[in-house]
Amino acid sequence: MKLTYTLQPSFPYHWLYGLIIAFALMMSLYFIGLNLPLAEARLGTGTPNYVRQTATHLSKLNGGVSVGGFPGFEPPKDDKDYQEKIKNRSYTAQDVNDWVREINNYLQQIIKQNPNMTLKQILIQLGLTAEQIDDFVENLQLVYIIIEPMAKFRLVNPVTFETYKEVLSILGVPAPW
Amino acid sequence: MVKGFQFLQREINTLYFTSDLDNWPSDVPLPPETVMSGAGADVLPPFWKFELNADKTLEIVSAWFLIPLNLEAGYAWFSEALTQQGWHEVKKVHFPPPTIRCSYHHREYGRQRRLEVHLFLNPHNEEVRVMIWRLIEHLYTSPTHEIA
Repeated sequence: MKLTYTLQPSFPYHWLYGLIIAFALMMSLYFIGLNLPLAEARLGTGTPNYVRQTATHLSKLNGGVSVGGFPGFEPPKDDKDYQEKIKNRSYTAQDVNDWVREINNYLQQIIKQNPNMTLKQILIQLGLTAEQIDDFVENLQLVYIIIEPMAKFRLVNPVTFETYKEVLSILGVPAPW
Repeated sequence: MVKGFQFLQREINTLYFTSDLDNWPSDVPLPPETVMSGAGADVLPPFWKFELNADKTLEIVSAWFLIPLNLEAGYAWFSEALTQQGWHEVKKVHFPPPTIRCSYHHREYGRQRRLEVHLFLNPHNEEVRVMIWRLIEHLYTSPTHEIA
């Protein structure tokens, strides 16, 4: 009887400990499964996707090269025109407008989801190397150099350029060099 | 207005101009038969920006070109020509697919004169595009400040 008495009150706590351990295991498997560092859990919702999308659009403006270690942009294999446009850098001012507007949207989401964090801090959390971070930032600066004249020639919407400048500033990305 | 320069826009403390290749800065030589290009399909002439600050004026010029050299020959050409003009390479990054990004400072003026020369090879048609961006900081002391 005495034994039953000592076991009964602690019985529900075993369940609780079990649940906590199971939850921790599930979270570990989730992050390992996504091949992401556990520290990334501190980043806002969707941040890895927004960063990857930003890299993809930067890649479009730069011949489809890899940006910051992310895979370069590959147009659909059956779309020859799109492939030519990317590979031969024959994109139009309208393309630049559209792609930079998309970049602005992703960067704005990154800012919204990660207030008070710089882009560099976010990329570190995502596990990028110093070289990959430099590459990412230099591609953003290169796009600045591409679109500033286009905005002044009115080929790119000046509002798109001003927004781009603003989001880079909020994210602590320095003006080109 | 200086001959060959076309005024584009003025903001509070910034003036934007464009110019033809005749006004391209002589301290950043270009290989013979180089032609103007752009980042994409649009060919844009050199772009000049003058930003007037309290302590200095920033003079920035940028342009894209197509050069009649392959990537390594292009890099070697710029490397030699820019060294003769007083530039020294402070950073070179080589990325696959072939891109060479070089940063230069001026030997005499240091970081007050900075230059970026980025060469991009298109592996499909062997074309090499070059993006050139040069910044000069002109230090400024206002006459009233000097009198005081």
